[in-house]
Amino acid sequence: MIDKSQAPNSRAKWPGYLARKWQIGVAIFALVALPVVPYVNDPYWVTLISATLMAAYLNIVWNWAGGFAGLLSLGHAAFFGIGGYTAAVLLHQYDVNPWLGMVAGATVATVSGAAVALAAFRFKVRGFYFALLTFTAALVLPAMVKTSSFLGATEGIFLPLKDDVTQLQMFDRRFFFWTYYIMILVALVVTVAIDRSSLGRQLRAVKGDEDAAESLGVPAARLRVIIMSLSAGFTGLAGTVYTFQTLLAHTETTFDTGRFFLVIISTMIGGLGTVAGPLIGAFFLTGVRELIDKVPVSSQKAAAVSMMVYGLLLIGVGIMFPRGIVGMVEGVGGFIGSLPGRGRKHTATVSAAQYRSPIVAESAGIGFGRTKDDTPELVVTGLTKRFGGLLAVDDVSFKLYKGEIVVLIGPNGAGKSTILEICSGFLKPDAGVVTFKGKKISGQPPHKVNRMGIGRTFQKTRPFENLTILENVLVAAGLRSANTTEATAKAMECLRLVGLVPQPGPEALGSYLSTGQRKRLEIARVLATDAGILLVDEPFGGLDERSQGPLIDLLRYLRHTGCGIVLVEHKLSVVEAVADRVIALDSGRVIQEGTPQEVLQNREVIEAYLGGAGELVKPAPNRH
Amino acid sequence: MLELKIISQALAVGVFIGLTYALVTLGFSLTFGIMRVINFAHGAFVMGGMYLALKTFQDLGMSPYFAVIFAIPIASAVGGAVYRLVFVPASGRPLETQFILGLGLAIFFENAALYLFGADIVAVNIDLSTHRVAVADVGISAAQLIAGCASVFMIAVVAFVIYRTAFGRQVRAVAQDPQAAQMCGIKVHRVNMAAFALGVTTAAIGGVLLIPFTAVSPPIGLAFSLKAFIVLVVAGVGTVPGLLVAGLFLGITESLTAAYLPSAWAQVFELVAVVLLLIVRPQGLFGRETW
Repeated sequence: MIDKSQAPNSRAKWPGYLARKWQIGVAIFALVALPVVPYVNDPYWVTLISATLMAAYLNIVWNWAGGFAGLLSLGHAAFFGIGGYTAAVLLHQYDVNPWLGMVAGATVATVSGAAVALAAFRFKVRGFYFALLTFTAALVLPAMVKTSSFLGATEGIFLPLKDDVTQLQMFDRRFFFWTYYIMILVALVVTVAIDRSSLGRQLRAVKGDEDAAESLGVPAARLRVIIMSLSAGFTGLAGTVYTFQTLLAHTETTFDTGRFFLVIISTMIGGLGTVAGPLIGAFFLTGVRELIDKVPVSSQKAAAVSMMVYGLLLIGVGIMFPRGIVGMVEGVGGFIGSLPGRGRKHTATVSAAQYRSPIVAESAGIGFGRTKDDTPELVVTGLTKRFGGLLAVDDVSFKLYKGEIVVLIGPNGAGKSTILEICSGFLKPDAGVVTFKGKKISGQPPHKVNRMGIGRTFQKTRPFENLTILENVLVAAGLRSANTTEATAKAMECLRLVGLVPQPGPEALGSYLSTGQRKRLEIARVLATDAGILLVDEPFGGLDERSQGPLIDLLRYLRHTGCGIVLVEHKLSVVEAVADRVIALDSGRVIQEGTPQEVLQNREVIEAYLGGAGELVKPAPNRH
Repeated sequence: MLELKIISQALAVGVFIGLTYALVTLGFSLTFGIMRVINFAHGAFVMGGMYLALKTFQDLGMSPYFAVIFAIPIASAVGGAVYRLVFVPASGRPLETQFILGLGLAIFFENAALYLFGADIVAVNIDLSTHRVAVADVGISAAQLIAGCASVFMIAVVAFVIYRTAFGRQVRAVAQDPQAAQMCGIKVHRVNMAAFALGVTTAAIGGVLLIPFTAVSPPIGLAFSLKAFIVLVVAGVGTVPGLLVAGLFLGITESLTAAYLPSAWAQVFELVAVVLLLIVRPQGLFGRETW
C-alpha cells in the first residue's frame, strides 16, 4: 500500500516503522541477554539488576501515560502504594494469599487510575494542572494512611517472612529477578501492541492536538481514561511485588514519590513516548549510578552527587535530544541514511501551484449536485450564542442540502466561525438546535458529532506535527476501517485526492508542510472521516492565486460526490466560483440569503462589508 | 475562650507568614506569565536564600538579614545563567519539556544543597525569633513581623517596576506577544532574563526573611515550588491582589492546621483546596492571561 520508494522530503529522519523496528530489536536483545545475570553467582549483581528491572518496568508503564498520551502524571507513586497496601492489608488482616492480593492490588490501582483520569477530564484539568492533581493524590494518600491504625499508621505493616512460592516470596534472590523479568516481558508486549495499533496513533494525535483529534472522531477523554487506568494498574502490580520483596508496607517506602521522579528522569533520558526508551533509560541510570559509586565519598554524598548528575543529564537531554537516547540514535541513523550513495533521495517538494489533482478533469463543468426532491441534511434553527455580554450569534437559521455548497460571508466578528464551532460540537449554543438527518447534534461532544457524519477543518490549520502525513490521515481512517490495510488504502486515496501524494509523500512529517499543504492535509483528514457534511473555515486564507484553482476544483468535486459543504470565506472570487447559496451575516444575524449574485449586490450586505460605498461585485452576465 | 485565642493567634501568624509566601512565589508567577515557563526550580532559590542566611549567621557570626547583600548578586547571577543556559535553548519547545527541565534543575539544586550542607534540618534562632510583639493576647515574633512587612514592601517595589517603569512596559509587552515585542525593537531574551533574575532574586530575599522562624533542609526547595504552583493556581497570572490573597491562604491554612494536626496535613489541605478550586474556576480566583 505504502509506496516505499517515496523518500521523505523532510529533514533526514528515519521513517516511523523502521525507527520502531530497531527499538524492538534493542528490547529483544536486552531480554535475551538478561537471563545470564541469575547465573552470575554474585548476589550484588542479581539484586542490582532486579532493582533496575523494576525501575525499567515502572518506566515502561509510566511511559504509556506520560509518553504516549502526554499525561505527565506525578502521582504514580499513589498507584504503586495503593497496590502494595492492598495486598499487604489483605494478607495481614484477612490472610488472603499474596498472589490473589497481587491481582486485587492491581485491580484497585486500575480503578484509582480511572477515577483520577475521569475526574481530571470531567473538569478539564490538563497539562501542569494534571501533574499537580496527580501529585496531590500522591501526597494526600500516605498522609491519610498515617492516620489509620488499620493500615499500620506510621509504623507500617510488616509481613511474615516465608520461603514459599505460593506466598509470592522466596529466599532465593533470583525469584524476584524472574518475577520482574516476566513483568517486563508482558509490559513490553503491551507497549509494542499499543504503539502499532490505531490506539497508539490516536493517543499520539490526542497528545499533539486534542481538539483536532476530537474533530476527527477520536474519543480523547475515553482514550486517556483507558491508558491511565492501564498504566495505574500495571504500576499497582509492581507495588504489590515490591511490598512482598521488602516484606513491608510503609508510607515512606511504598508511597515514595522520589522513585517516580527517577522514573520521569530515566524515561526522559531514554526517550519519552518511544518503545525502547524507558528500558534503555533505566539501565543507563543504573550504569551512571554504578560509576558514581566508584568515587570514594560517603554514601550520602554519593547519592547526592548521582542525583545532581541525573538532574544535569535530564536538562542536557531535554535541551539537545527531546526524544532522548532513542532520538539520538535515530539522528545518527538518519545521518548515515542521508549520506551520498545510500539510495535515499531527497527530492524537492513540488510547489503547491504545480500540483494538479486527478479530479481536475472530472470536475470541469460540474455544477449543482443538489436535486430538487432532497430533504435538508443539516438544519440550523434559531441558533444563539453569547460570550459574556457579546451576542456572537443571534437567532440564525439555515438549511444545507446534500450536494450543495453554502458560503457564509460577513465582516470579521459576524459570527461565522462561531456557527461552525457550534455545528461541530466545540461550542454549546445558548439557544437553538442543530440537527443532522433529523438527529440533534448541538450539545454533543465533537467526536460524537464527527461520528454522526459532520467533519470540520480549522481556520488556523492544526496538523498533528509529530505524525507523518499518512499517520495524520490514518487517525481518522483507522477509526472507520476493519484493519490497517484497509485504513491505509483509504488514507492514501484521500491523500491522492487532495494532491499530497505522490508529493511530498506519505512519510513527510506534519510539521514540515507549507501552508497550502497543511490546508490540503486537513481536508484529506476530514475526508477520511466519511463525513457527509464538511464545515470548512476559510480554506483559501493565505493561499496564493495559483493554489486556489485546485482547491476550488476539489470543493466542486466533493459537491459532485454528494457532500454538503458549509464554507466560511472572504474571497469574493471564490464565493462566486463555488457557492450555490450565500448567507450574509452581520453582528450575528442573517441579513441576506440567496444566490451569490443576489446577496453580493444587496445594499445591506455591501454596507456591512464596505460601510456603504462602492460595490462588491459588478452586475455580471449569468455565469451558469 | 481558649479556642478563640488559639485561632486568632494562628491567624495572626498565618497572615505574616502568608505575606512572605506571597513574596517568595511572586517570581514563579512572573516567569510563567511572561515566558510561559513553569520554573520548578523556583523554590530552590528560596532554599538558597535560607542557606545563605544560615551561613552568614553561623560562619560569619552576623545577623542573618545581612545575607541579603550576598543574596541579591548571587541569585541574580545564578538566575541569569539558568535562564541563558537552560531556558533560552529550550524556548519554543513544548511546555512539557520546559516543565521537565525545571524539574531537572530542582533536582540538581536540591542535591547540591544536600552535598554542601547535609540532610539535617537546621534552624536559626536569633533574638528577633523569640521576641514577641503582641496586641492584647495575640502575638507574633518580631522576625515574622519584619518578614511580613518587608515582603509587602518588596512586592510593592516589583509591582511598581512592572506597571510603572519603561522596563516594566517592555516586560508586559513581551508577555503579551514576544514576536510583536521583538518587532518593536525589544530585546526579548534580555528582558526575559532580567525578569527571570528579578523573580528568583525576590525568592532568595524571601528565603533570607524566612530563616529566623523557618527551619531549612534541602527538600524545602521543592516544597516552595509546590507552594508557588498553588499560589499560581489560586491567584491566576498577573495579579498582585491575587498573589497576596493566595499567599495569605497558604500562610493561614498552615498555621491553623499546625495548631491542631501534624504539619504534613497543611500541604494536604492546601492541595485539596487547590484541586477543588481548579475544578470550579480553572483560571484562578483573579485570573487573567498575562502580566
